[in-house]
Amino acid sequence: MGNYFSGISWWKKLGIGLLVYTFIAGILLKVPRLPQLQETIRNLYFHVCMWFAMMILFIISVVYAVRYLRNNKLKYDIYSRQFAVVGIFFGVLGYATGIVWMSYTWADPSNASFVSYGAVLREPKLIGTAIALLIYAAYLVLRDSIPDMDKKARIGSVFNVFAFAFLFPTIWILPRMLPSLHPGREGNPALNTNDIDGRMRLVFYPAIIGWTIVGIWIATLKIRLKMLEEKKLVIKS
Amino acid sequence: MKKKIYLTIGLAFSLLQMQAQQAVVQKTEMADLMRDNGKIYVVIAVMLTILAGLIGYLIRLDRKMVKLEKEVVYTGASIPEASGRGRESEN
Repeated sequence: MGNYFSGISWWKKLGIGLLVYTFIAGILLKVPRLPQLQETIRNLYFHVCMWFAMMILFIISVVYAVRYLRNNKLKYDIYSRQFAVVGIFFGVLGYATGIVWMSYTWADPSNASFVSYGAVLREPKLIGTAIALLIYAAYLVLRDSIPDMDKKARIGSVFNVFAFAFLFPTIWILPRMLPSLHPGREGNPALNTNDIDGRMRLVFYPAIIGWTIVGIWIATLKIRLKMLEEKKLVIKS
Repeated sequence: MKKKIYLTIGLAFSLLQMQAQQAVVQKTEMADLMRDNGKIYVVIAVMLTILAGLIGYLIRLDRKMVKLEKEVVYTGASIPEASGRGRESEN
């Protein structure tokens, strides 16, 4: 067992530790008693962290896309693509967890704004994130459908920058201009000091870091696999 | 005299109302029972088991990758950059 973690770099161990801490402290520590949310407020450590991890992974992805466009090293395009894939993965997880959370907190028969699922379908945050994720999905389809390596990398990187730019209207700006059931419209959701209880920040920030590290870890594994594949490809041809 | 009675009744009512509101605030249902009888630790145990499984799987993948990478270098089959036939050669 002591041997098991050898060769695993410190930041991966840090991520594991932070997640174990999140799972224990996230359930055991005290949280504010709010009538609508009750215990589900603890979902903050999981649902919201998915979106944070997604955003950070997309930022890394666009940085590598720009680096590819600047110095044409194909490995940067591979980095960019794999980080985007894991970002999408976390986005889908955020969506899935949001569906569960929403159906137990918004779906309240005594809540007048929730008369039908029409109210959910008109939810600007859901529509906005759906558009953003679909644009990233289009990035994958576009990039992976081009056989030529250089063209693939160049068009993919340009589209990646476009997809990143589109994150801002779709998930940051538009949902805040429209009425919504989703909390966090007035400022930076969960980062605002008035918005989140001090006790919760004790778990929330470590949770963000932990989940992000796991995301980066998965992305680096995918990158390493892809690099090995590329090397093999070059040898055979 | 009448005024005083009305005032006391009014005050009493407002006090009652305040207490009722406080009671509502305190009544927010949380999983207190699970915390009291310790069943919450069962939940944590299940969650930690899943986490351990996932992380263990990631670690296994990581170690396998290290092994593979070493093999590629050992057989001398590695080519320094994946961009071996990148654009540099064109320019």
